Amino acid sequence: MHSAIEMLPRIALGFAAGYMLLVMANKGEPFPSYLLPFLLLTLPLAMACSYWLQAKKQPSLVHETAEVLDRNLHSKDRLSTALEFSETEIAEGEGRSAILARAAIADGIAWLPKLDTSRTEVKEPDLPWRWRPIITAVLITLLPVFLTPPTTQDGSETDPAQKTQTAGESSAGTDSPRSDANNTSAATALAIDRKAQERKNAKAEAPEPEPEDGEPPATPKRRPNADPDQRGGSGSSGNSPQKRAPNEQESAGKPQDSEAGSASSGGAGAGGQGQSQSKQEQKTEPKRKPKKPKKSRKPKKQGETKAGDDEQSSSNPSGSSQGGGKMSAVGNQRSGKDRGSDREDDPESDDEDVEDEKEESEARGGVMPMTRDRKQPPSRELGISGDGPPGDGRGGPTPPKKSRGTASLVLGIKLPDQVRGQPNPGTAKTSIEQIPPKPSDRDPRAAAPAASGPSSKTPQSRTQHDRRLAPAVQRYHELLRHPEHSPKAK
Amino acid sequence: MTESNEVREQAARFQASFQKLQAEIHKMIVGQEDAVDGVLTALLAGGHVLLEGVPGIGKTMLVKTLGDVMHLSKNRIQFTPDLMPPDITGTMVLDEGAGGGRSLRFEDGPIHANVVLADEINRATPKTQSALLEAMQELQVTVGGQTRTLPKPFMVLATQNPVEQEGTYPLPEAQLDRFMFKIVVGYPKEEDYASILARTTGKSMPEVSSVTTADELNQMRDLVRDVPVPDIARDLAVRLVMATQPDSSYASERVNRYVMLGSSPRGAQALILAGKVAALRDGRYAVSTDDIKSKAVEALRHRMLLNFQGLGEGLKPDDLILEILESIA
Repeated sequence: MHSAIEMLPRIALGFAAGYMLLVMANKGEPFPSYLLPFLLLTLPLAMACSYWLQAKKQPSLVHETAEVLDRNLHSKDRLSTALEFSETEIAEGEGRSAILARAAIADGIAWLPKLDTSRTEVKEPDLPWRWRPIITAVLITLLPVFLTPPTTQDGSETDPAQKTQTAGESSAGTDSPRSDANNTSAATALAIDRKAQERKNAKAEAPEPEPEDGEPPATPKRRPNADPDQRGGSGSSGNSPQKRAPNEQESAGKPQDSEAGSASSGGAGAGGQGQSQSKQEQKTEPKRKPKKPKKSRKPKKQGETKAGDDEQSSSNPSGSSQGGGKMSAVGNQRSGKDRGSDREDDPESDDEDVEDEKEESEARGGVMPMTRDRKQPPSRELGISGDGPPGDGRGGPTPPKKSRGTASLVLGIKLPDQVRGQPNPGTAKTSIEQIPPKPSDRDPRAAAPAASGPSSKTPQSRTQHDRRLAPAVQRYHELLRHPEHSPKAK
Repeated sequence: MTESNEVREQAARFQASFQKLQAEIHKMIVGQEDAVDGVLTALLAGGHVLLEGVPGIGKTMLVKTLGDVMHLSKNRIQFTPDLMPPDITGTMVLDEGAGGGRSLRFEDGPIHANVVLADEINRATPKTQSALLEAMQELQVTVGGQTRTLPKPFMVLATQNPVEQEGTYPLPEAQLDRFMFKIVVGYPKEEDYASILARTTGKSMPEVSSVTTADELNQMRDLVRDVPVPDIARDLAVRLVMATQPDSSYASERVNRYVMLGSSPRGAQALILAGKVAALRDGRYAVSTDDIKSKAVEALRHRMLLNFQGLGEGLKPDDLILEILESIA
């Protein structure tokens, strides 16, 4: 609570600053001036309630105090343990555990005299010291109330700056000389009263403008400045759809769609607004899409703009082509395609566009494709396909589908046919016959011992050489086997 | 004497016995206060201890002295790669009677003692190591289809060498979790060396006397179980254990990054039991947060398994536990 009271001057300062900012922004009192002191009084009460609720949710501070005392006395939690055990009901027949718990309570009580009560005393702060922030906060809160100008009974502001601005509006609306309105303060005051009364009457009589095509109406803050009663001529039709139709017909015969008309309050009312209208256009200017500067068009545009400025600066309610040329971005929902089709009508502008784009692409390095050559992408919507005319790549019904056939349908690739029937018997034929054995008609050969015949197989016998060389070969082999004459020994 | 006074008297006796035990053990063991305190705390809380330290710093002597001062039966098992489970738990042997009849008789293994020293436990195969699981958790062994209860109090004191890791079998997580504490026994301090040398190199070795009996020890264990735990201490134990578990609500960023496996609820049980012993040791009747914090490192260090990244960066579980203690406690 104490800290909350100390914060009061800061809160009051915030309130006052916020109030002053709102007053400056709204050019009037955003809420009654008595609300600030009221809020300042109720805020401490709300904070006190919240602190009280938080404190109620928290456990008792007694345990925390006991823990702190234990820590300071190094009593090994004797006080907090005794406090906890004293709060729990210990039955008589619980045995040694209960006896030990009671002993712990007695032990904690025995430590109480060791407490230094002088150190635990808490000094209450002086009461007058607490009043200081409250008084400061109240004074700060009341300061903007005194600083803000008094208001008239009908709520109109008496701020000098606002007076001047309103005078400008009234002079533009009534086509009276601006210098007279600025110089004569008495006349201005009278005009303010009169205009305020007229505004009230007009608001009471005029029906509420209905939003067109679900769009929200124009910003209500600007309405008083662009009041239809203060404008002349076609400017009055800016907010009323019933009155706008003839106004659009008046505007130089150029075709304007309804969307453009809904946002053409600035443009259509240009003829009768004078300075106030130009201010409004300056405000709506940043909402428009930034146009790329075009060199070749510059002189022509400047000429047009100059002419437009001349027309705009004149206070005559001409209602000419301002509506089409000064279309605001809010209501201008014409697609780029439409704009492209408009451009196609003018061959000169086409050439200029082509040149401009060429220049731009050259400036970028000459690698960018021409945006005007970009074609509409084909539609990707699904539909019935396969029965349409031959495709042109632009969507719609697809042409008859080509067969995604197998390779057998492609000429030149032979694939074996599968013919059902008997398996191929093959070239080899195996047959099994039973032939009973029978004795041979030839004479049996005479048997000879295998070891003693010429059939003994030795490497020498297998060699096919001349029999006359046999002794020499034999000697050679014997020589090879001899250790002294062997080539290895050598 | 009223019941309240009797309980207070028991608590006072507990404190006195604890101090006597400490003093008697320190007749033989010079220094190593933390190790002695941890072993006594685990003994009175009914837990087992894994002692890790280099050879020659008195681990085996500590266990032997513990058995002597408490008048407890003690056995020592030297774990080797060829040790088999029946060598620990016991086995059935063929016994020949006086009349020539033969029958099977159970021969007790070395585990049937009050204090069992499992020396260099990581040198035995996992099959043999797992023979201790049932004994450590359920205090019983099952051999030949018969379950045999181990004597009370029962305590396993295992040692392992942190340097010679070749040819060893690191303890599985299930077995590590069954140790209440992992106590790292360090080198003695400089001032302790004079006493160690004087006691061990002289003619006569110092002798310790029995301070308590097994029955008194069991009574002390029962009293420990009755110590009340306030919420503040219990919540701290839970928070500490949860802070070691990756992706838990209390886990820090480093724990999430470097820890693969956190502590199980056995870690919280160990913290609470150790806190109860510490409270009675200090003459208090309830567990405090300081008691929980004092044994957090010993109770949680072997229950945290670091991942590859943590091991690669040379982190130790002790560092992370100290960080957790600073952030949570």
